[in-house]
Amino acid sequence: MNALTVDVPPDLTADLVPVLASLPDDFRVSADGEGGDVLVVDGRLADWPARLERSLEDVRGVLLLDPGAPEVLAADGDVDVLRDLASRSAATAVPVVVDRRWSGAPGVAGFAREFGTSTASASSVSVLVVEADLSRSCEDAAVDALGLARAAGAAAGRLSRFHGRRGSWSAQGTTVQGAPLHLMGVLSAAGGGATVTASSASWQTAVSVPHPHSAAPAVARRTDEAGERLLPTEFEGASRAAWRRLRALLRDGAGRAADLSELAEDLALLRGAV
Amino acid sequence: MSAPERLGVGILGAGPVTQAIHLPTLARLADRFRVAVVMDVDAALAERVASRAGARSTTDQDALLADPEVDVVLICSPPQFHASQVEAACAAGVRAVLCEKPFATSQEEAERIARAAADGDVPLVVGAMHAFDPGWLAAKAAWDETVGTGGGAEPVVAVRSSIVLPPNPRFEDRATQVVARPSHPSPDLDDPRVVAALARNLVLGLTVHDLPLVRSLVPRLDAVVHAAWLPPFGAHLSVEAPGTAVELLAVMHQQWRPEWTLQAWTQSHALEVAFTPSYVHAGSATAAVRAAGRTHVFGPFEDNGYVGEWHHLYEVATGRAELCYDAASVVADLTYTLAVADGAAGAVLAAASPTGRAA
Repeated sequence: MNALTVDVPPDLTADLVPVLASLPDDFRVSADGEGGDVLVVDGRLADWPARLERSLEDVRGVLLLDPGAPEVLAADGDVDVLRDLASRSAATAVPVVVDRRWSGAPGVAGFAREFGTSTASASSVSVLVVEADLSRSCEDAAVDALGLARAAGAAAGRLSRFHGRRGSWSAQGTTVQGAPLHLMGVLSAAGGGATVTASSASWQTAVSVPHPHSAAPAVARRTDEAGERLLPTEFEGASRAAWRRLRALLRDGAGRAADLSELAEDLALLRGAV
Repeated sequence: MSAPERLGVGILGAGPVTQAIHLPTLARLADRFRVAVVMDVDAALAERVASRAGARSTTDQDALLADPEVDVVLICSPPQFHASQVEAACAAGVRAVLCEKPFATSQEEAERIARAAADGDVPLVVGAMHAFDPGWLAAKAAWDETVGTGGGAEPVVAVRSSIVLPPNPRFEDRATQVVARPSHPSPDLDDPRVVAALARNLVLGLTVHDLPLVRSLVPRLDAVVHAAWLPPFGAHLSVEAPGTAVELLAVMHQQWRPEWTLQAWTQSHALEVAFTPSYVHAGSATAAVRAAGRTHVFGPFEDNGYVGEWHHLYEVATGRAELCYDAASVVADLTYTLAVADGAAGAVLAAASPTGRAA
């Protein structure tokens, strides 16, 4: 399979070219105005759902980058639009991979593979997200945090409360399995990172994801009476992993990804709590 | 140059805190302190602990306070006795009192203590060791200089205190050879009222360590809005404050990774402090003040907060320094702590109630 061409919006060149340059067999940035096999939709733009809807017509795959929340939280119907888009993506075999901050890091997937079963049975889960990009809103950061909890195996089932402030936010709820869930987020240029910690009476699991611009790997561990087990480090960030996943979906021809429907569910949870 | 004055210490209560924290600390400060008398209601315990320090023992609090060799008093009894013992020590005219935390269990007791200290002109130091930790003090000074203080300061947007420790004996046994460890009955964790009382005690016994520090960053709290009880003895609290998210985790757990951290953020800076566990006589916290692209690290320093509080007591008792945390400040710390403790109990009850409200 030849390299797929990627239509990169000019504003995202600095973010995406380094990632695409690390996957030269799989992707090539298309020339200006040429279009591409893959379209990038900038989720940081307020109207990203509409842009995504338009993009599904004539490309082979879509990468939705860093989707934010405010526009989608404006009305109940917007979440339904996303659900419909997820269905259309599946029906037309045009995969939409969502490059969400934190949750796509391979270390999180490794954590979920090794410790997901125990994490799902936790008696308490907490998520701390420190976002260094001050252009993100509290709601954006909360959606990222919900995505991380989901990817780690502790998806939120209910959010009873969300309180956003200038520079921080907090939320409480329960996981799908009914464990208390605490989420806290900070917007601070001092440096970013995110951690999910799941605990029970006899063990604790935790995965920490450094800031996306950091070269540091995620750290995943389980601590119990036998001591501590640290998973092998995986030196890859969420963004590159998202691109490799998109390529694999297109190569296999399956064309299905749950990313969009999961994002819609996280947005629906947040909308219900704000 | 003359040798420094050595102050005689009278100790009320001879339990593990006296044995594992204060006697080893005083042994390191033998040029300034000597233990004169140890009092406990258990005569055999008092005698055995006193003998370790070359001191006399008694079961009579009044006799200790009247002893001419007692210059300063250390109060390590259960918290419900603190108020009356501080009052008695102040009335006896000792040169200074160090009272373990929490120094009172109610606002009324705290105010009685403050009055007694003022009436007797007796300096009172509260054993909140982290408030005296050199790592914390260095980082906080840099933090204040960086983000400012008072009305012009860059707002603190979030604070997180995380205290995860093994049960006390694990570290007590590294600090000393404990005599007569008290036993604790197993509580009925199926009874929400019992759990609520435990949550209150958890705040007054464990979270209390960091609350003066949290108050220095977030002077006012509004309410504990959520609490999750974490068996066997822990709680995760979400607290609302004006413009600030506050999260307080305190757990005693055999299997989790020990961790004692305090973090605070503004929109441009972060403060991170990693403390050593209680009972550990091995240097200060290590702290960092971060901004985009740079990190300033403080510590570890040789002394920890236990040494720091005794150093300060010495300086104050010998007239070399004024109290760094005066009576009004420690009462305000307690008011803040009681609000969190009562809020935690209420939130635990509310979580257990079908209506979601505390009875």
